[in-house]
Amino acid sequence: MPELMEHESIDEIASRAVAVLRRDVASRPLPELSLRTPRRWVAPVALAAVAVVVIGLIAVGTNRNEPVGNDPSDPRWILTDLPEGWSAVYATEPSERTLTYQQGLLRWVLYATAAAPLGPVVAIVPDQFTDMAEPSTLRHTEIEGRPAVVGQSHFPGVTWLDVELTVGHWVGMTGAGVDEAGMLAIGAHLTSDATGLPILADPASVGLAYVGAGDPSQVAVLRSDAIGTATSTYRSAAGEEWTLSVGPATDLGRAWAGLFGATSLDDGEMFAINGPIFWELGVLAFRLEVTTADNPDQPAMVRAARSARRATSKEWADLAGGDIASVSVDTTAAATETSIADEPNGSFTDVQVKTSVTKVDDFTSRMTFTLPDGASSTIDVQFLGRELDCGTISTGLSGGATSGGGTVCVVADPQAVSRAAQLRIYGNDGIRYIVDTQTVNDFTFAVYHLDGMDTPRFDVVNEDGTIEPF
Amino acid sequence: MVIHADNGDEPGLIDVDFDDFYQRGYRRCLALGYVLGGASADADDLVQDAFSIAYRRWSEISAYDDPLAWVRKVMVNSAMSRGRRLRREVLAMARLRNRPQIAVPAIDERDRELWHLVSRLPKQQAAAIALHYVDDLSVEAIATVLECSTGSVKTHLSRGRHALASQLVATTKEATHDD
Repeated sequence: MPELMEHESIDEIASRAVAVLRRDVASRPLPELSLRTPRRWVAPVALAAVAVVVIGLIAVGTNRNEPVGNDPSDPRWILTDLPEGWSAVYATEPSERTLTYQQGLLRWVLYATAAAPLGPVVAIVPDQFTDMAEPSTLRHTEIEGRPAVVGQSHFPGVTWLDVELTVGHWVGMTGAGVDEAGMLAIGAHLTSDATGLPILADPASVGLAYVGAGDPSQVAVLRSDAIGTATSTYRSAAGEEWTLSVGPATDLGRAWAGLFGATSLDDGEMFAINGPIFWELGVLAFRLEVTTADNPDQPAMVRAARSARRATSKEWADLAGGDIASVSVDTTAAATETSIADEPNGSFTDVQVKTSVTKVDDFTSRMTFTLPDGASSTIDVQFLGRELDCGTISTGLSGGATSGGGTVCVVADPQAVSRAAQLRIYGNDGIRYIVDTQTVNDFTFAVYHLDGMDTPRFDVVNEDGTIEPF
Repeated sequence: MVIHADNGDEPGLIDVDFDDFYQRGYRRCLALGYVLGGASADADDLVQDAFSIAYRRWSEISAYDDPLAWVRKVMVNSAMSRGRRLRREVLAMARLRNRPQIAVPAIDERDRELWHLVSRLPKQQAAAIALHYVDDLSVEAIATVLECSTGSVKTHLSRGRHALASQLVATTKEATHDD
């Protein structure tokens, strides 16, 4: 068993880590509580409530919908043409500040072409620490004698380049629409301005123009919590989500959008770059993004994007009028998860295993398992703190483990699995072995030794009847 | 403590009870926020948001048996929603992950990895683990916060611990292999 689990259980690791964390936060000064208008989240709004309002307003172009308000810069917009089964679930008011953890961290310098965001875009990240571990395509090279690392990011079409501008001072560059050779050529133009900010000398010589510098976390649309950006979120019956962010259109934001990767849609009005769909209308920029979905339906997203229009006061109030506490926790999913019986079919014959425990020493107990036909097997179980070790395997609290040799071991923490739980092991021989849990020194566990089985399937039946597969 | 009421709709008077509540509860919630926030400095934002809302509804919430439980619930819900919302954005920012963070607790890399692994668990498991370890909540109390059954909480805790153990073992293996 790996070294970690031989010495510490999850309980011990977490308890130690919590103690450290508590010591740290206890020493923190109490910050002022700024009672700004909080971002307001809402309880899911029934599909009908929105659909009734919008059904007559579905349009094919964003500019065919009449804004309800008079302020063209009002970012409170909603989607009206949603796929079957989708509904608007909540909205956030235009942010008044960005997340604190982003502030001051992202001082990027952007260069682009007039075709941004679709044309090449290059960002310089001052003080970048090069990372050799990710992605795997990174390779070491040199640019005019300066150490450099170049490679493809995990975003399609995005190239990374880190250059040691001066000794110990690495500068990072991200380029979209630029291959590695192009990035190395651009990297050769890296220099510093009078303030020490890394810039490109003569960017026009590599086909780029300076766009701006700043903290992209405060660029509207690029982050849904950027200043001045309002969002509305939509959810399918299956739990997939899209988020529409609307905020002020800026050159910096437009260029920054290009850094997301390869273009998968460009109809002259809207474009999708590695997933999110961007478009601009007047002084506003829009981004429709998949927040949860493995295989987003881009045509449906485009239809929805084209249906965007400014929300009425009532629509927005309905969406943004709740509070965080009323956002429902997905108890349905939880219930489903708990009730995953996943019981094998009835082809298994239940056999109750009788277990006896003999104390060998302060740390060791000998478990003897006896089947109804008298066959028996024995293993020694060692208790190391609140960790149990049964020969070839060991496990922490409430973990389950199997060994190739056939030992099944489940440790049941009283809070995680009830004391009345049973371990059920599905043998290759068509027998389901039922093993009652044991309690030794207030440590509840179940363990069984089964020769000749390779990682059998097993589960635990809780006292309340729920079945917990492992 | 100074409370800024920078919005005209905010209450004009500062309730002394709330002030005390905030002073007593902030640091406890900050630890929880740190774990819920995936070991980022997002924790303070999470806590401030929750207490801001609590302040706005203090006349109601102060009557609860455990107002801090309400704040925890707000934080958990917010973290879950925020996590979904920001997941892809964080990916976009992944390039910056080695940059120095601000307001991150001074903990070692091993602990940071643990809390990072917690944040990567399914959201209910992560919340259950955070509430159990950081706030020492009972299964029943966690069930109240997560609005699910105690059986579900047990399942979340069990699976969360199991997953953490597996991932920590894998991490150790990788580290050993790298060495």
